[in-house]
Amino acid sequence: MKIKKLSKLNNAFSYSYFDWDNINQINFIDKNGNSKTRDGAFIKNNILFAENGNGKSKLVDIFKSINGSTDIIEKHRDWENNAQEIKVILDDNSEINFSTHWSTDSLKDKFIFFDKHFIDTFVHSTDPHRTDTPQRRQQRGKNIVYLGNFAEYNLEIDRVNALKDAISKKNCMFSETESTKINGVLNLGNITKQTLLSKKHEIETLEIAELQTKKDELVKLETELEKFSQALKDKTKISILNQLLESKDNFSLKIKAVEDVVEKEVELRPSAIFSFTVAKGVQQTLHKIAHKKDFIKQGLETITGSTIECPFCEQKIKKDDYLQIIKDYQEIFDETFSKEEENIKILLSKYRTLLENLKDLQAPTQNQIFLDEAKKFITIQEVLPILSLSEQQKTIIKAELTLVSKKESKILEKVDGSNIEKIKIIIAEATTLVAFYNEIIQKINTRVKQLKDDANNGRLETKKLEYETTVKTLRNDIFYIDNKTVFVNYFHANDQEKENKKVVDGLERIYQVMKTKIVEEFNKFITDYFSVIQDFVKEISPSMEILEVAGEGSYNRNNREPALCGFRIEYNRQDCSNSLSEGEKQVIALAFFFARLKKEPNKNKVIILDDPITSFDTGKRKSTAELIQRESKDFDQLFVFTCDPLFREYCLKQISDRNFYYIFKTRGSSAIHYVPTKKETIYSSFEDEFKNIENSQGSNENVIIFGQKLRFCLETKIKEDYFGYSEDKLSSMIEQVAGKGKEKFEKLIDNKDIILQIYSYCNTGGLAHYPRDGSTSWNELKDKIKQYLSLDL
Amino acid sequence: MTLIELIKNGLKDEDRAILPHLDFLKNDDEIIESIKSVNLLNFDNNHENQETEQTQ
Repeated sequence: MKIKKLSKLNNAFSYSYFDWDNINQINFIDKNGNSKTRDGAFIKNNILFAENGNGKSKLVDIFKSINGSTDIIEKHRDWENNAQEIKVILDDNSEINFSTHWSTDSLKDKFIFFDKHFIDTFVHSTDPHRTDTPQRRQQRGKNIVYLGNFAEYNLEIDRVNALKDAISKKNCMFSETESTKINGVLNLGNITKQTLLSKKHEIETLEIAELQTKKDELVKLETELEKFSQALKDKTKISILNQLLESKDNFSLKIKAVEDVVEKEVELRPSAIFSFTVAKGVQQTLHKIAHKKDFIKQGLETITGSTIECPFCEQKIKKDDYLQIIKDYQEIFDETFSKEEENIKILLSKYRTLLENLKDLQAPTQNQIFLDEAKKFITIQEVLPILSLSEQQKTIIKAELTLVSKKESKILEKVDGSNIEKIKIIIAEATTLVAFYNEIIQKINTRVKQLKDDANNGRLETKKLEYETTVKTLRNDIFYIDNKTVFVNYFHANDQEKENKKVVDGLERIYQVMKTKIVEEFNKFITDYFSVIQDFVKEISPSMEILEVAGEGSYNRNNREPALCGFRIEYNRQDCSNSLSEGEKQVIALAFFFARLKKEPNKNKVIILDDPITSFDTGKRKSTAELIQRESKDFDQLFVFTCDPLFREYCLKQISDRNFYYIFKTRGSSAIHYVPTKKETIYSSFEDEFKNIENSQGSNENVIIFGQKLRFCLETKIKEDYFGYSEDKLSSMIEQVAGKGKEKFEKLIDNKDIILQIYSYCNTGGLAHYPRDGSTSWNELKDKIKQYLSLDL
Repeated sequence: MTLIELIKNGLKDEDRAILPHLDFLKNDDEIIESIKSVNLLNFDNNHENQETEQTQ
């Protein structure tokens, strides 16, 4: 990329209304008689000459703005309310217009500048005796210091560090705010944040729905604990605690009975018992002989099958009349009958006992007392069941007992109305009740036994501790559930704080890496640049030598002492590190600038040097021009600005493929003027224009331009052409003067008044600066120009 | 080249994620907001807010 033209510079610094083509586009006839146009566009290398105050450095500033180095382009004082405009044409004829912001992506950072600012930025000298503030010394550094990007790097490091601190502080505030929300609750629970955080998972898994259950459980356990405490005080009472008694009642209808001499288990069948009876006639007979049984029994024993007379009435026994009576008697007195009757009585008796026990069913009376005693030391949840029948059941049993009595009184009579089925149900229920009762008793007894064993074996203390632990856990659980929402919020905030801390830690790591990197970069700078700078210094100024990097090859940010990266300088074998002249500083700066060009990886850039030799002697100017030519050739484009005629001449000689321009300020606006290659002695170019002045328009603008050109010609021609002002050596200057010849100098002396009159006219209050009106001014100026030409200097 | 650019290849992924936000043309608050926008930082207890919203 090359800059072809700055085709418009309106209201930019001293360039109030510069129009490239208006100044530089010229139509001419070539030596072959062809009509041609040239616009004087910039080429690869460009040398721009201007005297002070004409807009040279302002043009450099405009380039800096286009480069994006600064965004400030001041308006002309007289044009404060006018718009600003910069129009750039590139070598591909693309146009870039700026009106507010002065850079675009395509031109940003495309330029490399060398100017006073560069020297001030990178090269410093501190006189130890000079009064200086620590801040200024710190900013500027000691000795000859290249800070390069290190100042920027330091800013970056400081920003990262500050950002880290800011985030850390913000995170601490966040943490404190969130902590404050739970402090009251933590004090209430007498726990620390650490304890709380250690129970994070446990608390998160606690169910709020379990709160009431746990509260109930706590009440029970606290009661239990109190009893344990009591038990520990009254151990002797525990040893005498009684086991509760089980109910012995057994209501089975299965009983033991003797049958055929053998005792067997038989089932009571009340229906059969109540049905035991004999025939009606036998009953009447038995009634009749109720008091004579033995007598009748003996009589019957005498009767055989052949007995024909009744042993009692001695009458003949009529077979049909008495046989049945005899049989009945025999049956009554039969041994089997007798046994059966006896058996029925026994069964009745057992049935009665069963019924009476059933009716009187009740728990052992001592049990409640035993239980109450035990409850003083342990919690027994079990309640003793009421071991008795309902009144309705008792009524049924009483009715059944009445039947039993009735049967007992008349054993041979059949008794109806037994409620045996209901009795069976009652028996079943009573059996279940007794079993349940006994089961409860067993449970209670187990607890009582355990208590006594624990007391005997000294385990009560351990158990008390276990209860205390459980109670404590429960209390904690209840506390955590009660405040779960607050705690979970805190856990979340705590997680956030940790995540934020990761960023802080990350920034700390970045900070540390940056600190390491800046040292690396500095060492790299020493390795890469030092010898290159050394060589360039030698080339620009052979008598000057930079010897070494002072201090260690490290970069210590902590003490911010840039002396560690300074050079020790000798000039004419004198150490001058602490008192460099401006010229010496410029040598260092220029050497570093060339070193940067050498190291610059991207050569597609435009190099701009603004008077790199202001403090140089002749020798250095020449070597500088040579170095500029050599070191810039790989880059896209070069602009050398100078106000020094000698350096200008060196550049014109040394730098090939170049255009030459002068910058002139006319009527309040700077302007860039192209000078054709063959007329590089500027005044000879101007003189050609003077000779054709009749072809020029007498505009106000031309009055200004031609007036300035006339002044410039007069001054420059005499200085350079007569006195060899642009020669570097005295011999060359003498040759220049001698070559001019005596006649010329006599003519100069003879016409000195006219020359000074014309010069004065151009400089002070003359027409060129303050035209009165178009035609009058133009005519006056033309007369002066003709006077100048007639002098034939 | 900035120092940040010089070091970025030597950083862990988690640290490199912070770098795009370190635009030093911005002030610290703006940088913090930028980091917050990708949830690397958070100074609001969102959980609490969510709880409140749910309650409402």
